[in-house]
Formats: sequence, C-alpha cells, structure tokens
Amino acid sequence: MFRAIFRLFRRVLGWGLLVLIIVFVGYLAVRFLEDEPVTYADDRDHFKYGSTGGDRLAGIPTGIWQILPTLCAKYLPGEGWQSLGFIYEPGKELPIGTSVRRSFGFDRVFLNCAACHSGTYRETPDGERTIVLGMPANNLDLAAFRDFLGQCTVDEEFNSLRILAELERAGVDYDWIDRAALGTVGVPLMRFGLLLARHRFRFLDRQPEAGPGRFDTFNPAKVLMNWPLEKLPEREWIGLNDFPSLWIQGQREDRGMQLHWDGNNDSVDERNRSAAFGSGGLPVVIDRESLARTAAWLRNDDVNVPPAYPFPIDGELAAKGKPLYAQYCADCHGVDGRNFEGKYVGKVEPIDRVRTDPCRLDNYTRLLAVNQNLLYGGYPEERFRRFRKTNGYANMPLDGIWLRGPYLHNGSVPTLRHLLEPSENRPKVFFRGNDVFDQKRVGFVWDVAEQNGRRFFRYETQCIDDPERGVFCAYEKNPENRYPDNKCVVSKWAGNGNRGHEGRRYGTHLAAADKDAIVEYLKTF
Amino acid sequence: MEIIRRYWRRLVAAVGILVLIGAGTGLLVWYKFFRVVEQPAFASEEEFFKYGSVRSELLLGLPYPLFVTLPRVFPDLLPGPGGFTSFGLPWEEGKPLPVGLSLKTLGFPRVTLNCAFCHTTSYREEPEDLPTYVVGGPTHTLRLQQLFRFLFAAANDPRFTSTRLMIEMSMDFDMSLLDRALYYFFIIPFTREAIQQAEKQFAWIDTRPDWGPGRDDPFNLVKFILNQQPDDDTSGNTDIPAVWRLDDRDGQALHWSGEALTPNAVVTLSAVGIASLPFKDFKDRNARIEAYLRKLQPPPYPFGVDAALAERGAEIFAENCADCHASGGSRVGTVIPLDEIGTDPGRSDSFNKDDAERANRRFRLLGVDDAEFTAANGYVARPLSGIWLLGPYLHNGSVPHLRALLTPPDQRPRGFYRGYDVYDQENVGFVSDDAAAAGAWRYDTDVRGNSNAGHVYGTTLSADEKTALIEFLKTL
Repeated sequence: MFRAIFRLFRRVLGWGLLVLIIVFVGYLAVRFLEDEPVTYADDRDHFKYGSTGGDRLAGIPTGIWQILPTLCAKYLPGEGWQSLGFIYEPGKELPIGTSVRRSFGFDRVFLNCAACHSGTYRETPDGERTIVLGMPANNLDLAAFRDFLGQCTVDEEFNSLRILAELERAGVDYDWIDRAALGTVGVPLMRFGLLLARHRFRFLDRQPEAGPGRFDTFNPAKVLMNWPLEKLPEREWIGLNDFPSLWIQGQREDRGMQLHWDGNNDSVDERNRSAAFGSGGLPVVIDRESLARTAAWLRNDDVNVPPAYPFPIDGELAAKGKPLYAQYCADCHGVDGRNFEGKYVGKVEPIDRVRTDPCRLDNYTRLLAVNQNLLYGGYPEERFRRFRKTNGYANMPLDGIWLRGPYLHNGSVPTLRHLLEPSENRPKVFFRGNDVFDQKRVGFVWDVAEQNGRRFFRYETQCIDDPERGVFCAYEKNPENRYPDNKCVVSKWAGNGNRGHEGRRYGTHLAAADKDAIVEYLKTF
Repeated sequence: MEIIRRYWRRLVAAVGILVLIGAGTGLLVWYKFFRVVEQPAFASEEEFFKYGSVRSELLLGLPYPLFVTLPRVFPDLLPGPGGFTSFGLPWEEGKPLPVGLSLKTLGFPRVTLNCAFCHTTSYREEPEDLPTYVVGGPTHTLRLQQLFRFLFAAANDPRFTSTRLMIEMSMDFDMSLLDRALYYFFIIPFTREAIQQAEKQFAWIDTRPDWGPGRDDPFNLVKFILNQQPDDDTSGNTDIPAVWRLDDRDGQALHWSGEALTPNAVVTLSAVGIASLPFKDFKDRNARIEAYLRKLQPPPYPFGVDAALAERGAEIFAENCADCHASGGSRVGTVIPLDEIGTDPGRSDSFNKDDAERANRRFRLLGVDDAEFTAANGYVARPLSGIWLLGPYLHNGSVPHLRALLTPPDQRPRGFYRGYDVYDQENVGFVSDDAAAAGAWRYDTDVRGNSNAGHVYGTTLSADEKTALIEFLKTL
C-alpha cells in the first residue's frame, strides 16, 4: 500500500521534475536569448534613440543606469547624468544619444551617434534651450563620462549586494531571476568590462583635459587593437578634437569630401562604421539595418540640415560681408552654407600652410591607417579601405557654422569673430560648456566661469606659469605648434593651441568693420 | 557461418553506416581543412607578385583570424606599436594585408608569405613623408628574425590558449558553432604546436649574431632546416638582394656566392625556401614569377641627377668598375675569389659543394628536378641596376652608403644604423647616422660575419672623382 503510493509518487515526481526543468530552461533560453531593440517610426527619433547594436556589447541594464548616479554620486560634477552634459527631452527617462535593447535578458542602454552629435543653444541664461540634432555635442563631457564609470567601478560600493539593494530602494522592477542573474553574473561581468574599458582608455590620462564637446577620436582605434600605448612616441599621444557636425552628408559624399578633421577618410559608410566603435559597435554586434537607416537619414540633404539662424541678422552688413567671404573664404569653405563648391573644399590643407595645432594630425599615423584595414577582418565586404595618412587638416564646409563653436579642430577659438583675429589677440583662456549664444561674436558665451550654480570648463590654450601649479610646459614657451622643432610636445596644455588659420590668406589682417561683416554673413549659413 | 547468415543484414547495415560516417568525416575534414578556394584574379602581374599565393598555406599558413589577433593579445612581445607593421613590413594604404603576404583559403583562410615579402623595399625623402614602395627591391626594413621570435614567444606564452585568443577573435569574426569548435579544439592548438616545432628548427639562429633588418642567413636555413645537417658553427648573414632585371642575369652566377646558375633555378629554389611545394602548378607559377622579374625595372633615381657630373662619372666608371659591373664586362656575373675581393668570408664559407649536393638530393626527393645548387668560394660581381636602392652595400650590408664604399675599409663607419628608410641623397644610401637611431638597428662591423673589409676598388680616387662616380651610379 505505502510502497505503491511511494512508487506512484516517485514516477509522477520524476517525470514532473523533468518536465518542469525542461520548461524552466526553455523559459530561461527564451528570456535570455531575446534580442530586440526599441525602435522608432520617426527618423529623427531613430537618430536620437535608435540602437547601433553597440548596446549588445556595452549595454548597461536600465535599472543600473538609473541608480549609478546615486550609487557613485561623489564622482559626478553635479546631479544625475545631465551633469555630464546629457540632454533630456521632456518626459523622457533616458537622454538623447542613448538606445535601449532587450538583450541577455535585460533592457540595456548605451550610447549612439546622437550622444556626440546633438547639442543645444539658448538666447539667455534663463531662457528655454533649443535642441539641435546633428550639431556637435557642445554640452557632453564624454571624458568625464568615462572617468565617472571608471571611478565608480573601482569604488567599493560597486558590488552585487550594494547594487541589488540600491535597485530595490529605487523601486526598479526586477524579479528574482533578474536579481539572481545580476548578482551572480551581471554585476561582475559589468565590472570586468568597465575595468577593461578604463584600462584601455588610459590614453586620456596623459592628455590635457578634454572638457565638454571634445574627445579623442583615434586613440580608441589604437586601443581597439590593443596597441602598447606606452611605446608610442610622445608626439603621437594627443588626439583631442571637437565633435563635428553631421549635417548634409549627401553633398559631402557626392563631392568626395574628407570627413574627419585631418582628412583621413572620404567614405561616409566607413566613417560611420569607424565612429560606431565608440558606441560599442564591434563588427559582430553592430546592427547593420539600424545603422543603414541612420546613414540614409544623414545623407538626406532635404531633411538633415542645420536650423536657420534664429536671431536677427543685419541684412545690410551681411550683404557687405558676402563679397569679402567670396574673396577670402569661399575657395576653401564653399560658396555658402548649402553649396559646397570650391577649389579646396573638403581637401586637405597642408599643416605648413594652415599652421594650426599639429597634435591631432600627428596622433593619426600611417601605421594606424594600414592596421585599421584589419578591423572588420571577418567581414571582407565591410573591411576598411579608405583610411589614409595626410599631412594637414581638411577644409570643412560651413553649414550651420554658427552652431559649431568653439572653432578650429581642437575647439581652441571660442567665436567666429575671434577666429578672424591674429592668434595673439584670441583669448588665451576661455570657458566651454555654456550653451548661451553670443550673438555679437557668433559662438557660445565664453567669458563666464559660472552661471546658475554650474561651473564651466576652463580651456587653456597655452603654457601657463602658475606659481602654485608650476610651469606646465614641457618645452619652454612653445606649447602647441610644431615650429620650430617640428615636434608635438606633451605638456599639460599641448594640443590646445589656438594658433594658425591666420595671416593675409585667412583675413585676420582685415579692418574690424570688414570682419564684423563677414561674421554677419556667416550667420546666414 | 550460421552467425553471418543470421545477422548479415545487420552486418551490411553496420558496415554501411561506418562507411557513411567515415566518408562524412573525411568530407568534413577535407572541406574544413584542405578545400582550396582560388584567390580572385589579380589586376596585374605586380599585384600577383605582391599578394598572390605561392601555395605555401599547407606548411606556413597562419590562420587569418590569428594573424589579426596575435598582435592584440601579445602587444608586449612586439618591438613597438602597429601590429605586424612594427617588424618593418611594407603595407599599402587600403590593402587588407602588408605587401608580400597572401590570403587564401585552404579549408580556412590562411596568411602566408610570398616572394614580395623580402623583395619589396621602401624609401622616403623626408621623415614626414609617406614611404614609397618599390617592388623587386631588397627589403632593408624587414626584421624577419624578430618576427620569428615574436611568434615563438607568443606560442610559449601562457596567454596562447584557445579561450583567450577566441575572445579576441570574437570581436572581428562571427563563426558558426562548428567553426568555433574546430578553432578551439584543433586549429589554435595545432598552430601553437606548429610554431613550437618551428622554433626547434630555428634554435641555431640564437647561437649566432642577429640578422638585423633586411638580412637573413639564407644558406644556413637550407642546411639546417631542409638538409637537417649538424651544426657547423658557420654564420652566413647576408643582405636580401634585388630581384629585378633577371633578363640581364642569363649565363651568370646567381646568389651572393654563385650558388645557382639560372634565374629559373633562383626562383624555384627560393620558392621551396618559403614552403611552396611542388604541386602540379609549381613550375607554371615559378615561370610566371620569373617572366615578371625578367622584365621588372628598378625605378629611376627620383631626386634629380647632375647630368654633366654623371657624364664625368661615366668615364671613371668605365675605367674602374666596368669590367665587373657593366653589362658586357668580362667578369660580370662571375665569382670573384675571396682572396681577391677581400670581403667578409662568412657568407661564402657557409655553403660548400657537399652542402649543395645534399640539398640537391633533398630537392629531388621533394620532386624538384629542374633546379640545382652549386657552391663557389667568393662573391659574385653583379650588375648594378637600381644600385641607389640597394644600400647598405656589400653582401653583408656592412657599408651604409656608396660614399663609404669608396673610402678605404679602415675609414668606413664601424657602426651605423640600418632599417630606416629616409634617403641619404648626399651619400647615396639610407640615412644611417644618429638621426636614424630611433627606429633602427645598430650594425656593428666588429661582430662575426659583419666585417666591412675588402672591395677596395675606387677608394684611391680623388674626392671629386668619387662624387662624379656616385652621381653616375645614381643613373644605373
């Protein structure tokens, strides 16, 4: 009697357990193998929030993204992600430039193109800001983002127990499977990934501070291939430059124009693939469909255009500036803000002529250009073919130039009016990260250190001899240019030089009224 | 019998299944390891020379994913940044691989070297310039020995595991589960084993002076690896030669000491030297390479020549050098005995008649029956086409430039740098003084085999005559 019951019980339990295990494993498989990005019907939303596929690799579970600013508040300059310059649209939980994808069982968030290519401006310190897509990210401090993640990762608070507790406190809706997965695998794996990234991005530690609106474009390519950075010659260390604008890519491509600051590539697709690495977009994870959609939108010159200048323009003055522009600028910068015709537009201007800071140029080397041909090695169709080493900086067209300050590739000149001055008259020190527009000089307000409780980034263009901090130049008073020793010298402020793009060819000798006229005309771009 | 009768159906079925499994496995092994996918046609003979396979995949093929990955996993074992370029490999912009490497699928994609690996050179006018590559010229930047050492060190490194390498590979390669398994269990471990076996074959090079950039020890490679001869403690380090204008070399002795007698033999023997095996297309391919090299011309001197001065130099050349170095000269392409030429004997001494005979027997064993080695005691007086790109000079590359070659041996530099490709227009050769020190290798003439003695011809000319002669040499 008892034996019969026991046998039945065992049989039922045995089969039942097996079925239960199969069902549960199947459920976990479905749950953790799901791979689905959040998608958007509108192309502009897709640019702002669409996935490059990099979130498959670098994606942070949204719950953890939400609690990180609290967990590691001490490493943020202010409150929340917005203190790093991320832009939030009203009603959105995540900032512009992030995408969400369900992958490995979690909604995971990481950056996309718009993070570095969306900015804001406003008329007055207390006025409403306007968000502009495709504009250089004038607020985002990407280096500080990396620092924050790096510091948070090595903080003792960054552990499974603490993070799970914080998630619960914040009311994040994770069930027990989520919590178990995070606690055992997720958090340690994330810590591993972030530590690896922190180590590989160590090149940032021996450059001047980037500040908002700038980052290093090609040292990341070197660490992607795990180059022994310590063996690189000093002149190749510094790769900081401004984020560029992304408007009117169709015409740029049709005219075969160079797309990076030093003119090392003229293919929009390759540029996109190269830039997508920055969002975690390795060849094996990249979302080709999504990226193609973004690329198509970027190429559509009917919709992807800069906004018209929103403040008054003095038509008479602008008319006076037009012929001056045609005489001094058009050959290199195009007929106007929409027509990029011109003998030298999109071509590389030798460094010996433009004489701007050489560090970014020297940072990109021929060794790198050819080694990049191995990236996408497993995808012969997509392999890089168009990277070249150049000896100068490319002449960019000036579409939406009023929104692209500070100027020059390293963002060393705050406004257009300053750029028309000889370098000795340009500000030696100014502040970046303020989105209030300077209608007089065209650019962003540059001489305000602090506003509404927010401190801006102090940009130093050259050696400073500070009794407290010492002399920061490794090489006398020759901080930025390769003249006369033909070397990019590493010092606190190397790479930040504001010289060059001056002299009779560049209009810095003109009368003040003429310069004002050119600046007025440039507002129409 | 009874058993067979009773079970024959099952037996047939069992045998059938076994045969099927065997065939299937065989097919899989063939497909995944030995299936040949021909390279796409090359646009020109030059492209073929630079990137075409000589079918050495079987013995030397490095799996392409490992080629991409190794420099990333072992950056600390590289001489500098830049992956394989840090060994001085020429690499044209936009191309998938450096010049001299071919990518071909034998089961899986494999990278191997071809003739252009050693026979492509580069020069620049200024340090800031990009290099100009010259096909057929002798590399003077390639650090072959260091490249070997890198591979050996990597194979002996605890990081050389399937897991570690496949994590890195997974960044650029999306593989099927089957391919992953094959790489994990077979290809990566086997590659490691193969490199370690190769290291044993190369153990002798560590007991001798370093090759340095642009040199190797060619006939000791033949003796110790092909012949498997006992170590005789010779060192025959020599410059890699140019391979252009082979048309001029018919009827001449070739290689530095006249080890081969026809251009075809040089191509054939060198092909075997880079593990090109005598499969059915072996002769055709060698003939194709030979035909290309017969007509290949060195580029003219690019920095301008003083014509009047060169004309004066031509007379001096006719008087002093033509016998041995002008086409039609009575001694061109003959071996000048050691006693007469007086240059370092190491290279000539490294290969004698017995060695040649042994190598020939080995070649015949491999199925190569149309090329023979011989041996002589001295060095070949060679035509000087493209001499401006052949520096450093003499067979062992012991004299940095032509001007030094025209000075008496005791006044030639005893130490200089080689492996730097900025051109020295003043002296004709490559910049070899302290300015080159950064990326270059110091050559010491006191080291065994590196003597810069001998070839005293023209050293007694006046300074003006030497300058005129050098001007003329630029035009060759």
